[in-house]
Amino acid sequence: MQSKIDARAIEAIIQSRKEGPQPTGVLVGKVDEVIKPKSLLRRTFDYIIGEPLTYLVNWGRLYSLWPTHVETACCSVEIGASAGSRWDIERFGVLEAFGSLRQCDLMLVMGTVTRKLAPRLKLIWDQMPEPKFCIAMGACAISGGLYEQSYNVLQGVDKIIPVDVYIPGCPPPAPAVIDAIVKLQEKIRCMDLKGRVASEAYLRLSPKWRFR
Amino acid sequence: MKDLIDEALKVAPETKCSIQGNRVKILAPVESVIKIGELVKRYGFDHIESVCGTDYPADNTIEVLYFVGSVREELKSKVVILGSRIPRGEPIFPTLTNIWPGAYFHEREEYEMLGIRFEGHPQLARLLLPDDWDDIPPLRKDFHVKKWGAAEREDAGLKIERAVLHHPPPECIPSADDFKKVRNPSFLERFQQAFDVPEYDTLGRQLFDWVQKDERTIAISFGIQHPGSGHMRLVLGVDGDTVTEVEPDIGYVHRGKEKMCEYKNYFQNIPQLERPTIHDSTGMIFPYVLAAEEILDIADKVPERAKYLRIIMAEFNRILNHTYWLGIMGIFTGHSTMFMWAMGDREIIIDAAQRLGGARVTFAYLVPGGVRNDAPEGWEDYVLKACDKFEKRLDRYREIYFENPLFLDRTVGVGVLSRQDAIDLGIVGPALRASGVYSDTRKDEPYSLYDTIDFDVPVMMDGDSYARCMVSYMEMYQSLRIIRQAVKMMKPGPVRYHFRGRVRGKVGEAYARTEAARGSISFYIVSDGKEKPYRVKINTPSFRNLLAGVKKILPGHRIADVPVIHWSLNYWAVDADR
Amino acid sequence: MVEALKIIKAMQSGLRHLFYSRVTRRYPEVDSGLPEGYYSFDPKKGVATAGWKGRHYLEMDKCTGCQLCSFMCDEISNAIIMVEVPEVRFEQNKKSLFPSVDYGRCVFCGLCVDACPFECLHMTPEIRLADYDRKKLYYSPLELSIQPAVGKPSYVVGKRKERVEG
Ligand code: SF4
Ligand code: SF4
Ligand code: SF4
Repeated sequence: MQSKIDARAIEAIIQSRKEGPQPTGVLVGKVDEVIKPKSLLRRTFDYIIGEPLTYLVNWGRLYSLWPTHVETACCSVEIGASAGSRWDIERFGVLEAFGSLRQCDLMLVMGTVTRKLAPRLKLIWDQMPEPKFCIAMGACAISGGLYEQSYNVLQGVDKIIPVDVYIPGCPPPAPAVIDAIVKLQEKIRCMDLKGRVASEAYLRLSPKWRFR
Repeated sequence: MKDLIDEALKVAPETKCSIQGNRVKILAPVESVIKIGELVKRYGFDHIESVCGTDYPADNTIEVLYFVGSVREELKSKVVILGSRIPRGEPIFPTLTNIWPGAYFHEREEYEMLGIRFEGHPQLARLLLPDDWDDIPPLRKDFHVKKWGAAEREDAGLKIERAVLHHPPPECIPSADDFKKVRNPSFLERFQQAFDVPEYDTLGRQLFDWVQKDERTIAISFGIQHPGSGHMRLVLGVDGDTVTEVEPDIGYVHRGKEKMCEYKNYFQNIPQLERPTIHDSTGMIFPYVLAAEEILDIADKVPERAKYLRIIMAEFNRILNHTYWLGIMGIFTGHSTMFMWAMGDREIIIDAAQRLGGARVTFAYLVPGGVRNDAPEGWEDYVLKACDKFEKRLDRYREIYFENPLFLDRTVGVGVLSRQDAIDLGIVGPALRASGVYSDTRKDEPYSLYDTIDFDVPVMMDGDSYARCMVSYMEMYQSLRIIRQAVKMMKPGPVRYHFRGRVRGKVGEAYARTEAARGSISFYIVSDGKEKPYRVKINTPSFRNLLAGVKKILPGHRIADVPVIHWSLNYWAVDADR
Repeated sequence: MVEALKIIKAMQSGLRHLFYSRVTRRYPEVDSGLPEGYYSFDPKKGVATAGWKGRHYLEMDKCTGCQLCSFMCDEISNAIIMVEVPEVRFEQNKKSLFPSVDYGRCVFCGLCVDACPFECLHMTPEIRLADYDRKKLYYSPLELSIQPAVGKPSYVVGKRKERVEG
């Protein structure tokens, strides 16, 4: 009985996804602009200098994801736990450096964004240098979550800041945070020198990939 | 208590008094509230717990209640509820801050949430709501919440075909204008236009003016993006390097829980009510569950095993809270090793708790009627082993941190809170016990079989940051002791009272308090016999500790000591904002 | 002098940890060590079995489309929406109504599981749900009916097994 349903379910999902991959909401730049055919000279140049350089730059970006220290709400407890010795997100270069936001390139939105906080958060985001990434952590940051009815909660941080990775949970457990950081790193690997996403190869880390 | 009521009746004959167990409710006419307040204070009730306003549009009144406890041995278990009804159209109430100085912030909150004007209050200003709030006070009954879920899904591009949706009550359906507000938040625009628009940050400007007493003083903003501030801002007036005046600016995480409670039933409220302090989620939910049981009339039907499981979970959460707090304290005192140790050892307890609760911190484990699931097999042994392991690690902290001269230099004699101040300001929890007051709700008013368990309450006399740290540290040992006893005393049996049919509360009110990790926490629930509560007042320890404590302690200290002092108060701004 | 001794003592107690076994769990490479059982609810007794509260698992052949889970969640975070799935038809569910969960809203409280009177909704230890797209956080009933790779159910379909410990 069990296996029968699963087979049928997968079939139905494949049916419903025949239209092909849906465009992601966070893509920077247009796809056809990125995949324009290039001249031979340009391709040779890219092969010898461009690609190694991109790799090097991306490698640098990958392991220096310094988050700004702005705690928006209670999800920061799990960030504390994942910065602690059991999970240790410093292994992935996410260093709670407590530095100035001018040196940071990751904004971890740790939960609820209220109306009072939203303008300040936007101000902090605007001051961060490019390239910068945003992880929306917890149901509140993604959509408002528990506070659907609240008069003081912004329904999702993506209304003011473009979000790269969403982590569901309330709060997301520390392993889920690590998982999201790995996914963000995969996305950074697909970027070009200017910080635009050049390919959609990162999408294979999406948990729904295996449903296709 | 009888003599107190007699005297109150002598002052104002039309006073209505009732005794319900340990609660004495005195409803006096507005004119004589101050006199009766003085009487209550003289009788020995000196520890203000909460101020709560309830809107009754049906009889066109607002009820204002002051909850006053005591730290005296013989009155510890009692709570006096003193209040009055005032007309809804012209809600003016005499301030009682002269009698109980700790009511300062509570009154400011009720002013904002219900529009009650407290006559004679020193600085009646807004506290929690955003600067561009232009609606009626949110806790009035004619203010309705809106359900934004559909709008949010539409914005995210989520098209759910053939969906069956439930229809919210008509007053909760957002109008076209409301939707527009959500899509293009106007406050963002206003903010971005210019910083010199004077309406922006109105409260901040007011606070800056307050702290800037003279020419020499400069007002600086400590937070909201500051490693030591947390989810709040402190507006400091500084003269050179010395803090002269402090005004806390909270409300950055105010999520309107009290309002939302009125739209959810007694079970649906559980997830959101444990969110104010997620690392102390059971501590948060415990008094709510006790109060709800009283309203639902099942207080005596809770099985014994469930009571022990509740105790174990609550003590797990106390340890989780204190270790988290200790880790951050390590960072603020420049000791990263402490952070790593505390966060790592915390996982030992999380491992034991998640096997029972099914989550790392937000267990949603306690429900009215018992607990949600029984312990898995072999869990008891696991817990005892985890306790032993954790206790061994705890001993280590003494060498590396609590006897470390670097830590002693930062904390000994820093931020002294005297015993009298602590009582007057309504400070609770480890901060109160560090100032030499023996007060712990688990002992004062034992709930849920805490009276069958043998444990001590650590008390220190100094009242400085070091004493507060030590009290929290010693409490973890006591928690382990409680867990060990409870695990051994637990007998197999049912864990949950099984509700059948619709769950309705009886008409009435309940006030329950318990000892959460950060201090005494209480819930006041009013029910009108429906499935949903009429009014829920959440009274969190951080709200009482942080605001009053910071304002009292910080002046006179150096800026470098600010994070250490206010974090030693064991605050959590999310908890204060609700 | 005493102070210096104390500092040395503190350093010594830290240095001893060089010889201790590692606390850090190298998570993506090794297992996360979460409890393995599903969180399920027994409506007859009114108690649940302990298990991790992660992504839901829906047994479509038992769901009757009664909407009770959806009514419970409606006021919590409005994550469950009942949808019609005409591709799948079952005896007990004439209208083919099944719950779908929007994980952008779900707070993993498990109260929907407690509300289901037919034991067909469970929660699994699957926590790796992070995604690049808000839309992909929405799981249709068919996707929910696929068991995740991690964890073991506390019940098997049809007949009840004893609790499985994590
Ligand atoms: S998602 Fe949950 S834990 Fe995170 S901020 Fe929101 S309520 Fe708090
Ligand atoms: S776990 Fe809670 S929030 Fe998630 S779908 Fe179930 S009831 Fe709703
Ligand atoms: S999952 Fe359970 S509660 Fe939800 S519709 Fe199906 S049978 Fe009803």
